[in-house]
Amino acid sequence: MSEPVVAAVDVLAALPYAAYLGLEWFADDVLRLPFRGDLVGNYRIGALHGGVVAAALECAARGLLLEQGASAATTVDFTVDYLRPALSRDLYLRATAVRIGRAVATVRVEAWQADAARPVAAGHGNFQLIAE
Amino acid sequence: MLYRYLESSAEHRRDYITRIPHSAALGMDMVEVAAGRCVLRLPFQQSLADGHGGLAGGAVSALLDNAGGVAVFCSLERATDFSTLSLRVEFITAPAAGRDVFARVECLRLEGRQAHIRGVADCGDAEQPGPPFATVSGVFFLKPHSQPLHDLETLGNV
Repeated sequence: MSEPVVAAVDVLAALPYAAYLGLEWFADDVLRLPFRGDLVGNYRIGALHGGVVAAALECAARGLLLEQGASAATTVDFTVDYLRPALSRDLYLRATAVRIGRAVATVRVEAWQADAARPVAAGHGNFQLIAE
Repeated sequence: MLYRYLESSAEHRRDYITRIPHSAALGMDMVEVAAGRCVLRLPFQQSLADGHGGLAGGAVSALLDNAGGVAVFCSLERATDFSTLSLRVEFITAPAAGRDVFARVECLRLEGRQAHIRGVADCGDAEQPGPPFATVSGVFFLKPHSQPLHDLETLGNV
């Protein structure tokens, strides 16, 4: 029954760090972070900064909540498991709502690069929903 | 211990950060290091501000991740490559509008290939911590057969 109340494009505009990172919609429920040199953390292997991966996962989670009609969501906690090195290429993210309650939402996010079956990072977070 | 390398010169501290492209892009700076701990600063900038006027949570996560790495580095006896295995950030509240953010992180223990870190983020200043608005805990994993970090292999005994 819950129709998205915010256009998908506007959702990312509401997240300044997502805009800074260059996060964009790739498909219906998939976000893409195009690779950029200033997102690198390990200059020797050209791996994405761990903080960039964490931020992208968190933005994807908050983006999902905004898209689902939450007027605002603040992060209560966010946990990231780094599964494989995130190399010098685009990163794809898909967020899944575990539960969206009245005051709190719990969201899972997976991030991958070449192969969706080989995720590079997994995130899990709780968000406080702000009533309008 | 390796922290002496960073402690010994502002140039070493600056180099450590500028070699990490994203940290350099965000303008992070290493305020203080000691054995197994560090203080990093993320200067406020409007382009990284969230809706409420403080720095965005994602930028704070990046700062805390980086500070965790520096704290691990400051616990090492010799140069070893490592990476973040897991990172958990809890936000008590949002960072204050228009204020720099400080990450104060320590490496609790380095045992075998694991290094465990804990820390806080606040909007105090370099000398005086403010009330923490976020906490961090994480695990870093050391790579046993890796190249040494940076060019520290040339430093000899630091």
